[in-house]
Amino acid sequence: MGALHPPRCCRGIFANPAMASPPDCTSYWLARPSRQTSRMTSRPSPEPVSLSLIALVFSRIGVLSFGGGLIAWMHREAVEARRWLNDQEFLSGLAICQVLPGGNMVNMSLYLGVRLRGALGAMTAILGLIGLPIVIVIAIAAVYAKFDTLRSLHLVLDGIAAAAVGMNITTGIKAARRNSRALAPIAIAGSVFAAVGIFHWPMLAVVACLAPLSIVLAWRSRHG
Amino acid sequence: MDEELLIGLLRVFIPLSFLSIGGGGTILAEMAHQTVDIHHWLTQREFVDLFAITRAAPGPGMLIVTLIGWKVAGALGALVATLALFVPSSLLFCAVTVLWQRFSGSPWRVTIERGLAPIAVGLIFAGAYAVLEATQGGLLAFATAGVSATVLMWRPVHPLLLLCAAASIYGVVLPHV
Repeated sequence: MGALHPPRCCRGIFANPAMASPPDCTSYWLARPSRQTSRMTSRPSPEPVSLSLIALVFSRIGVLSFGGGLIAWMHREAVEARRWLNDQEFLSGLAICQVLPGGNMVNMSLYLGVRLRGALGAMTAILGLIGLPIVIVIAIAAVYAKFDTLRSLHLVLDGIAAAAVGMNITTGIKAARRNSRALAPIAIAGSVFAAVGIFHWPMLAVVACLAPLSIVLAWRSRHG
Repeated sequence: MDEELLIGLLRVFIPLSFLSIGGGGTILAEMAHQTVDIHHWLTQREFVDLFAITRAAPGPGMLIVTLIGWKVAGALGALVATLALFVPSSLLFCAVTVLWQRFSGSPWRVTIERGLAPIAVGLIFAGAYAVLEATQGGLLAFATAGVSATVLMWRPVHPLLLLCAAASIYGVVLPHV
């Protein structure tokens, strides 16, 4: 990475996102990062997106995405509103995010950031995504610490936790539906659940044993 | 003392970062196990509370690590825990994405995707189970989660509405039962 300092024209974080960066700024950035993005994508991106726009868009996604609806927000911003990529590219990116370690939304931000502006874009996207939420979460936790002797507060938080687990279950069901209906993947998922969830076996050991087995079974079922 | 705690945070969260295949939900069970049962950094009660806070607040659910770090070692702990969870997986992700794109359509890539999917599904359910087990609600907590999942599968309700509904039912009705 050559210059880490953004050019002056990219300073306006609060600038109107609809307004593209000035042309001199565009040509300044065109040289390096766009070569990187074109290697990642099948077609070169039409015009580079400014870092301040990336920061703005991802801060908005991060702050507005209450209750875990980040994927829908991200789709709306990146695909529908800004046309940074098409539906198919978004979904294949999401598949990669789900296979690799890391939160889906965190990885999706990195994926979009890298495509738009290379490593610097990924860093900007991730900081935009989690920057404000971190401050908010710590503020709520500080207030919570003052009242943590109240019984009803714990009940309220229990209720929120239980309902939020419902969201996790929905994610699990949707992911399970995408899998094939064969016996092997169901058995693998069931064993992982029982080993880690019910018996509290160490997750590392369970995944280290079952992941290779699952991949081998997937490979065999392809040919069988 | 403080350094020991910070190193402890790194030791717990860096491996979890690499293990969080399929999202933050997959490491929830192991995170609860490590922080509550093994290191005694917080009680089961506090773990559930912090989980609820991060879910009711905006941002990725994985920000629970920031709060655990804060609880263990203050602001520095929050920073260390957050970096420990987010940086390793992010670096790996960026490196692999570049390779991954080159192998799009390769049978190996498809096989790995298909092989890892059931693992992630099992881990997501294990995480859900771990949180429900830790709440004091017992059967009621399982029922709440079941209803919430059913509603979400059926209709495009905003999740925050469901969280508010559950919060008010638990906060208003339960104390009088």
